[in-house]
Amino acid sequence: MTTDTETRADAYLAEVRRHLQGLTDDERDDLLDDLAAHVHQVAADDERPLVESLGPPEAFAAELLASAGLTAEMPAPRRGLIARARRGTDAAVEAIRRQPAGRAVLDFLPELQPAWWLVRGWLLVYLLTTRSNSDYTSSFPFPEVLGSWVLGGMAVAVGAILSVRLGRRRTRTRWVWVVNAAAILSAVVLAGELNDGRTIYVDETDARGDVYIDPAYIPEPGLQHSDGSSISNVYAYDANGQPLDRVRLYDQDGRPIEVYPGYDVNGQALSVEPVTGADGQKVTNVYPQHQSTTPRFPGDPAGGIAVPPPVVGVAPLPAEGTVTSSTTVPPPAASTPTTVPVP
Amino acid sequence: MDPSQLLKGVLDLAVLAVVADDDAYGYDIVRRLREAGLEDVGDASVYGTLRRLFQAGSLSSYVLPSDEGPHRKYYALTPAGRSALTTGTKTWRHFADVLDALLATAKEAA
Repeated sequence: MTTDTETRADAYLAEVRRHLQGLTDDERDDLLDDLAAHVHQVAADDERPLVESLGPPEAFAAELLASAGLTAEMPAPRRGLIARARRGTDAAVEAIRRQPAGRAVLDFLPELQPAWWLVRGWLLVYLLTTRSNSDYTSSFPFPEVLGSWVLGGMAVAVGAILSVRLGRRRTRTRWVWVVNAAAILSAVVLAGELNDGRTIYVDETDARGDVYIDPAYIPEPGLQHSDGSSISNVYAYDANGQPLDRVRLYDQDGRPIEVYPGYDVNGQALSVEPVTGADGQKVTNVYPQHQSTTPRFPGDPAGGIAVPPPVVGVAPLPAEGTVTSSTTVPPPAASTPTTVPVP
Repeated sequence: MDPSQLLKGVLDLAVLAVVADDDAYGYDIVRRLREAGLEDVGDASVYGTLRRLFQAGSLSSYVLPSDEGPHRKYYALTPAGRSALTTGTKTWRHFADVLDALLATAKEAA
């Protein structure tokens, strides 16, 4: 059977389907399911066009309905908003179908259905699991369930399978509409949060190596050079040109200066090894930050690689007396209470 | 007289007879009806009839893979279908006998 005859058969079947009005989707699928193989075989065996060998699609549909004992009459137009909306969309689809390009697009849409089923499952599971976390945090693309990325992945798999099974069911129940509506709503909610930067931003790695998201941390704009390029880490050197470790930086008001690690040259997200103060609080302005690549999935070989310091030759400064300092700004006084000794 | 009008009344019986002979799929049933002499039988009519007989419980169906192309839905006669065939055959015989007699009388008169 050549592709051409298949195309002819499919086109004929589509026309017949179009003329099977006044049936439920169920009845129509039932009738056509069996017929598809038949029309394909006729197209393959008979040289003549299908319109000739089987008759015009309208007549074919009418004969089918009459002999099946199904009503061939159009049902009385239903009233109400939904029925009117449905008639409106039917008319629109009909108008699109009259254009060859429009028909090609409409005929292609069913091919995309399985993809939607998968996305639908993911959306619902993702939204449900992120809602169950008290702070709405989660990782991407698999949510965390009970703090586990693997459980989240399994939940997504189950959701996707259930969604595909629902999609493959021949009988269209009201459930399909409910699930589709819920999935679209989830997409809207998630898109809104993505826009807020609240969800789906991988921020840091905790002690177990699990990626989690801190909604309060938004990496923009951080510290920048005057040319707009971002500063993702700070390295301090003393007067003798020796690198300093665990330097703490404050601004003119005594506020800790923080930078955000961003991404390495390969686009791998970077995370910072947290530093805890003597009081148990996280200290965020200790430099240079110990940064390493964030694993994108458990066991990611590109994860956990420490970022090396820049190669710079820092020459020692001349002795203190030679620097002319006529207007020295005093260090910020307000900062003192906020500084916490680092153990 | 339009044979297609006549066919409508007896297509159920014709389809039951073909399937009683041997389980068959739709395309095959159409072919066998035509080979038997019902050249005017419409593909759509046969499929509609198959569906109606299936829903009425006269036929059962099962799917078998085919060498060329998609799987085929075979139809088989159920016990209810067999009794429908028996009843239908009797009705047809009676009807045919009556009509034969009528036509014979008319022929004598003519």
